[in-house]
Amino acid sequence: MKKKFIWLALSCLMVTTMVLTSCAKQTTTTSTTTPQTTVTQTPATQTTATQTTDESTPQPQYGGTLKLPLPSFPTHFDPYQGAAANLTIQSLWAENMVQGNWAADRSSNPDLFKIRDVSKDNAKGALAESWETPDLSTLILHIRHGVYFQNKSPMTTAREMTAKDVEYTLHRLLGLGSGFTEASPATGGLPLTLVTSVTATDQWTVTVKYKPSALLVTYLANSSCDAVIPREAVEATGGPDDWRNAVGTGPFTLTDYVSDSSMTFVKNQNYWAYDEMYPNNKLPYVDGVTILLIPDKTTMLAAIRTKKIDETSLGETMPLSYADAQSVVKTNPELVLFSRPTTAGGLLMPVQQKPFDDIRVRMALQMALDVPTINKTYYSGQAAEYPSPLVSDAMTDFAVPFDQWPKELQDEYTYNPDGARKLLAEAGYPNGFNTTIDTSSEFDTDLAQIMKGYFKDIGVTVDVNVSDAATYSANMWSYQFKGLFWAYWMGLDVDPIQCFNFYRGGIPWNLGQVNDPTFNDYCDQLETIVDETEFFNLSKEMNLYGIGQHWVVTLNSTRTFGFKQPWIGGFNGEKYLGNMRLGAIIARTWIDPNLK
Amino acid sequence: MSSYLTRRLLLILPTLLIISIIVFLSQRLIPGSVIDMIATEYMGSKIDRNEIEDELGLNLPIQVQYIKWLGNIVIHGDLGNSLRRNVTVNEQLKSKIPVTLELVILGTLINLLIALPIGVYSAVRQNSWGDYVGRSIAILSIAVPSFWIALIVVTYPAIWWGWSPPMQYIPFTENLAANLSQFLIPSFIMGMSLAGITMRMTRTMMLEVLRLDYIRTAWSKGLTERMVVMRHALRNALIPVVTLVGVLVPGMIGGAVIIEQIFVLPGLGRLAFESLNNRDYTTVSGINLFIAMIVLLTNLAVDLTYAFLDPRIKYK
Repeated sequence: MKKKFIWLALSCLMVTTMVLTSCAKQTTTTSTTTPQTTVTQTPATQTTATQTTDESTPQPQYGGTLKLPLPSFPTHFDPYQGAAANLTIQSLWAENMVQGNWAADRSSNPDLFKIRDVSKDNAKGALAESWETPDLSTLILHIRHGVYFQNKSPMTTAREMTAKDVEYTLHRLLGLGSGFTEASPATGGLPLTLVTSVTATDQWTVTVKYKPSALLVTYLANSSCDAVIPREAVEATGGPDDWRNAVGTGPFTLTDYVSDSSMTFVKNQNYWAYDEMYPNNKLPYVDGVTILLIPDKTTMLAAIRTKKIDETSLGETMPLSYADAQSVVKTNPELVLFSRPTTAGGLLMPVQQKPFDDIRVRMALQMALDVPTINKTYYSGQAAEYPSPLVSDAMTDFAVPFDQWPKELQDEYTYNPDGARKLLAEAGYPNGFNTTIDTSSEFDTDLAQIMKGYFKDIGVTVDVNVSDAATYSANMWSYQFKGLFWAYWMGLDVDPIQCFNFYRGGIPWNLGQVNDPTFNDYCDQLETIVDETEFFNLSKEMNLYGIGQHWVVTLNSTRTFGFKQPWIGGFNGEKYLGNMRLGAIIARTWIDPNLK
Repeated sequence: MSSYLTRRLLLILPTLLIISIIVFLSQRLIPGSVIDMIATEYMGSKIDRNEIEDELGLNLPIQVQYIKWLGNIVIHGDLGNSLRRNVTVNEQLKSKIPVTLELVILGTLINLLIALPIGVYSAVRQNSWGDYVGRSIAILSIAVPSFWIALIVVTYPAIWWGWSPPMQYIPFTENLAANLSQFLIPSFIMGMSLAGITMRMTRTMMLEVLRLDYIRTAWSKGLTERMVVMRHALRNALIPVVTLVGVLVPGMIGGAVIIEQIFVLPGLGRLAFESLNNRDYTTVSGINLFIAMIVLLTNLAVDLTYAFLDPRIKYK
């Protein structure tokens, strides 16, 4: 009997201990925060990112650790391997030549640095302190003095970065020397392929030869794969793809990596940069960054609500819809909301195949959609009123807003089911036709159903096929789709050539297999223009031409949303300081301990 | 017994062989290859598909690929290299297995801790209020999907009380308390979802055993209820329950995918899911082979447990 009591008591004690342990409060701080008077909590309001230095504006503070979520971890640590997931995180420890100017005036464009819009006017030197373009095929980079690689294995000392390191990196990336003959596959289709030679002419100067281009510096500011890593990392055991060898000149040093769980970065005490908005402030502000792998959106929302992370939607990842944002605003009004423009989604189609080879059919599909009503009802007024095919309206240098289109073209993008049916009849489909919409579970499948309904009204019967992301990608990139298929990333690039490549013959990204000789000629011509004004004028002309060809059935550009904790300063939803330069943004973010 | 054990262990090998063939071939039938996935990462840039196939060993005939892969496992114990990450499959499994094993072991313990007492009580107090409550709880736990409960547990406490489960994995060797605090809730959810089936099986078997003659004899001898139930009835009733638990374990490993995703546990389930999405054939094959081995060994352990539970059973 006594034995049984002891046994029972021990069991109860064990269970109680386990329960108490699991319910113990976490050591992360919970706080009664004083809400910042920054933005209203209505998602429709855009945050303005104007920074002033008067006393009413919170001032940067040093210290603390940022905790940020990512839905998936990089598969590689070597910039040579490219790929978005890798490059986003890589920017924390490795840097590029040119990046966006954080202090650039945002009063006329609150979305500055929320899309890829580092143009020549808002670019500044990073590892390249300055540059010259003696002609439009030569770029001379003056490498910044006093930039040191992190003091981390395989570096034996934290040595200074020189022009030789830049030369080595670009040689390796582009296969142009230093024993490298093959370019990284990550550079294919990107402006870096215009580079013909890279030479370190002295310890602090690199001369880059390009094929003539009007957007030389813009390309450099928005390139992603040319982060400078030292030769020692490339030649180390395990190579640069081992996280232990991930070394660069960036604001943070990668010190720990728990596979599929967390990455820990500590401040690079020897970092060279100062905050452009507060020129006496050395960067970074925070002592460290912890990246947590949170693949599930529900879990991420729980994490931001309970202050386990400091912001959501890191970079490109897990943007929140308006509905998601509304639910969080209701329950957690202390969280600070930000929003970002995103590209319009749309349906591509194989335009070489029937029935899509007939422009009247393509036009009819567009006229079947009531885009303003979709905005009012489905997007609750958060999306653009009108479609923006080919190029997002945010690309102000070469986008042509709907209200500036010729009337005839506007009519082709205005809801008109009767007109659509007439066009189909003229094209030989008086009773419509059957087709499919292929989409992926990672996209908004409800939109496909909405479009199905609209198409049905004009006699086009659609089957919606939803496949997993991997299958969808594989089918898309191997041009397997015979009907309509969803695409969403188009038109959001500061370089018009990158936008137009989606419709240019012979380019892998041309998923609709468009092969329009006029448009192809335009693209070839555009690449030879070196005068910037002429370049953007032609881009606008091409934009209008492409819109008129109806290669994509387009919906509205929308906005996505994210939240940050009220104690986070310096950050208002930016995600690009140049392509994939998240590390630079994080370096300029601070934590206000008084609000935590 | 030892010859029985040896025979059973040897029988595992042909089973694993067949499983390896099925796993190796079946994932290559899924639309989209690993090359397509790599091409996607490079946004369809003109990558040299032949070169990548060559590098990954995928240009060889499928049977040659299989023999090479199997040979590496048999001779070197090497499950190969991940096709998507710069790491071997062995290294990946080494870091993920403890997480999933911990989840499954805790889940099984919780399953048994909940199901056995309730099942026994329900049987002994058949048709009482306690029995009805127990059966209702069992039905609820079967009917309500575990992933739904997981989402509720993550979402609503965050809204109502500002609490959410820990989200950074800490191995139990580093900090047992922190480790348990992360695992207890997902293990409880997993265990609870299976407790219903286990409870019902326990109750059914107990009812059957309690009606047998030898139990009536035990009552007649004047033995206490505790003695009759725990010493005489339960051991015999447990045999099918043990079989059931053995069958549930592989299900738990598979079911861990969603739980690991929601509770941010870097386990085998999540690795399998991501590897499948990335068409990382070698990793998926390695994981499947490992799970198959666990299933077979678990079944062996279950069979051996019978001899312990029922002295009449002897293995030769």
